Amino acid sequence: MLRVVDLAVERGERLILHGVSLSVQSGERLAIHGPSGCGKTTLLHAIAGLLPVHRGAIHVDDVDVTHVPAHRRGVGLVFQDNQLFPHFNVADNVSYALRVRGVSKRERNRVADEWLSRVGLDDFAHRETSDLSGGEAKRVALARTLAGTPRVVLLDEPLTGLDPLLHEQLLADLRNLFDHLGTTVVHVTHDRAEGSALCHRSIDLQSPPDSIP
Amino acid sequence: MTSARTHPSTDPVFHPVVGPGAAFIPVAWLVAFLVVPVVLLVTGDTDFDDVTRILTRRSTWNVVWFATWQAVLSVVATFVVAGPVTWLISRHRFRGRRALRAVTTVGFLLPSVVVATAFLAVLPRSLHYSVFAVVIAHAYFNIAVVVRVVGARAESLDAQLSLAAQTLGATPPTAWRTITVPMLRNSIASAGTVVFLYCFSSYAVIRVLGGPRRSTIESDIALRAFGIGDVGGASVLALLQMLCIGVVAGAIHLLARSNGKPTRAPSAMLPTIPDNRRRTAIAIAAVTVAFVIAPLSALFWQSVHVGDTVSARAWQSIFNTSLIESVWTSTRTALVAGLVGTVLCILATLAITRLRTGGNVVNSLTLAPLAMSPVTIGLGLLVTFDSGWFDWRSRWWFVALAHTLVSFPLAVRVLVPAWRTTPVGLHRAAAVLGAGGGRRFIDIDLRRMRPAIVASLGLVVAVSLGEFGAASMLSREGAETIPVAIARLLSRTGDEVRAQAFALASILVVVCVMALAIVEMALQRGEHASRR
Repeated sequence: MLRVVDLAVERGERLILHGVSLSVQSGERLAIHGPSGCGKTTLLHAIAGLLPVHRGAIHVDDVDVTHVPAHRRGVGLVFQDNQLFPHFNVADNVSYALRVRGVSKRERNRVADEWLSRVGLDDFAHRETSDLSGGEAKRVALARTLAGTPRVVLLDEPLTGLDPLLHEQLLADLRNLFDHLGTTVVHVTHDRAEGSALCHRSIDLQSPPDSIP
Repeated sequence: MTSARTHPSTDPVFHPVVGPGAAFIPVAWLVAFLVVPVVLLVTGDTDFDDVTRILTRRSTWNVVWFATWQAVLSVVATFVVAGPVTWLISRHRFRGRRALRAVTTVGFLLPSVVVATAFLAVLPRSLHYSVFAVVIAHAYFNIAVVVRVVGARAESLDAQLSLAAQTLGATPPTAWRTITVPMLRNSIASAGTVVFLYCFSSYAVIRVLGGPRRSTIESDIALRAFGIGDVGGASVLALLQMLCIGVVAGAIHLLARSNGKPTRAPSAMLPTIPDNRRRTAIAIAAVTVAFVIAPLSALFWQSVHVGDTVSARAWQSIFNTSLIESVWTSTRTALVAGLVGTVLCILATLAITRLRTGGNVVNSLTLAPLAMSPVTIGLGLLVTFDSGWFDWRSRWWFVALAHTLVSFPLAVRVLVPAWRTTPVGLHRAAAVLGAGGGRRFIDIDLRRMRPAIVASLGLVVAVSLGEFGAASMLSREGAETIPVAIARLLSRTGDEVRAQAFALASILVVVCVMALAIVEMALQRGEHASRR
C-alpha cells in the first residue's frame, strides 16, 4: 500500500505542493483529478523519488521511503510522454529494469516477450521505438514499468493524445491487466470519465493544492 | 501551390542572374588555383623514386607515429578539459551561460600561431618545446569542438530519460552509463575525430611549441620543401597526409550518418543548477575561464616585459622597425582576400542554392580545401606558378589568393543557410511588380543577405589574418604576414625579439576578436532578419 502524509514540494522559492495526504490500499486503483498546473505530475514525481520532498512523508508497504532514492524505491512510473529509450529496441526497453539487476540476457528476453504479449504487442520485440505508433509506444512504456514488478505503479496521464477509439481500447486493456495482476495504481488524469472507468476511487487535487482526505 | 516545393532551378523567377554562368568563376578559381596545383604537385614533382625514398625512410614513419600519438593524447586532453564545462553548459540553465559558451569558443577562433605563442608566454621555460606544451595548446583550441558537438547533442537529450531509468531501478551512475553515454557516443566519436584531424595535421603549434626534434607530416612537408628543397619528398608527404585525412574524414561521414536524433528540441527548458551542485558548477566555470584567459593575459603581460624588466620597447620597435611592414602586409592581404573571397563565395553560394545538379558539384568543390592542408595548398601554388608570365612568387597578392582558397569552405557554409531562407514569394512579388532579374538580385537577395555577406567577409578576413601554413610557404622577406613574422621572431634568441613576437601576437588577438565580433553581430542580425 501507499501512504502520503502532509507532503510539501518546493521548486526554488515556489511551493508546488502543500499539505497533500492520501492513502491507497494494496491492489487499489486511485484516480487523481485536477486542473492543469495544480501539481499532479509533481506529486507523482515526488512519490517516485524524482523530486526532493520539502516536508511530509511517503510510505510504501509501511516502509518510510521519503528519502530513499528513486532506483531503490520500488515505485514504477509511466511517463506522460513515455520516455522510451531511443537507442534500445522494444525488448531492451521492456527488460531494462531486469538488466540493471544483472538478470541474464536470455531471461530478459523471455520476460520481455511475456510482457509484450500481455500488452498485445507480440512480435514487437525487435522493433525500433521510433517505428511505434502512439498507442504502441504507450503499451511498451506500460510493459517496461510492469516488467520491473514495482510495488506501486504511477500513471501520468497515460491515455492523453490518443484517438477516441484507441483510448477506449487501451483503457479496457489496462483495466483487465490491472484486475488480473492486482496492481496498486495511482492514476493522474484530467479526464474524470477515464478515471472512473479505470479506478476504484478518485480524488481531486485542488489548485492551490491542499490536503486530501 | 507550387511555391514551397518548387526547386529554385525550375522556378522561372528564382534564378534571376544565375545560370550555370554564376558557377563558372568560383569553379574556375578553385580548379585553377587548388585542384590543378595540387594535382601537378603530386604528379609533376613526384616520381617513383621519391615515393620509395620517402616511404622507406624510418624518419617518415617516426613523423607519422608522432603525429598520431600526440593527436590521440590531444584528443584525450581535450575531453578532460572540455568535458566538465560541456556538462555544465549543456545540462543546466544559469546566468552567464551564453557568456561561458562564448569564452569556450575563443581558442578555436584565434589563429593557431597566436595560441601557440600565448602558451609560450604562459608556460614556465622548463615546459617550452615539450609534448605537454603541444598537447595543452591543442586542447585549448579544441574545447569549442567538444562543447559545440557533444554539448549540442547533450542539450537535446531529454533529462527525463535518465529519470525513467532510475524509476526502473538504475542507480544514477548506471543510468549515466546505460542511457546517457550510449546516446552521446556518436557525438563523442565525431568530436574526437575532428579534434584528431586538427591535431594530426597541426603545423603552427608544432613549429612554435614542439621544438626542433618534433614534427607532424604537415611540418615535415614545410621543412622538406623550404628547409632542404626536397619538393618531391614534400609532395609524397602531402599525398600521404591527404590519404590519412581522407580515411578519417570518411569515418566522420559514416558516424555523422548514424548519429541519433535528438529526443527533444534544445530549448530554455533545461533545469537550473541544484543547490548541491552549485559549488562544483562555479569551480568548473572559474577553472575554464581561467584556462582560456590565462594564456592571453600572459601574452599581453610578456609583451611589456623584456627579461624581468617592465618595458614598452617591444611595442615601440614594432612601429620603428620593419615589423610594421608585416602589419601592413597582413591588413592588405586580409582585405583583398576578404573582398575577392566574399565575391567568389557569393557566386558559389548562388550556384549551390539555385542549380539542381550542378549545385551539388559546386558544393563538393568548395569543400575540397578541407581535404588539403594549407601547407599543401601553398606548396602547390608555389611550384605551379613559378615561371614566365605565371611567376607570381614575389607578388604580395599571392598569399591573398591562397587565403581565398583556405577560407572557401567556412565562408560558403555561412552564406548557404542564409540564402536558402529567401522566400520564393518575395521574388514573385517583385517580379509581378516589374522587377527584372538583376533588380531582384540587388533588392531582395543582396539586401536580405547583407548580414550573412558581412559575416562571410569578416570570417575570410579573420582567417586570412591568422593563417600560417600557406603564408609560411608564400610570404617573402620584407612582405611577411604577422603570423609568419611571429614565427620568425620566435625562432631567434633574445628576450627583446621574443617580446616583439608577443606584442605582434597581442595585436593579432585584438584584430581577430574584433573581426569575429563583427561576424557574430552580423549573424545575429541575420537571424533576427530571417525570423521577420
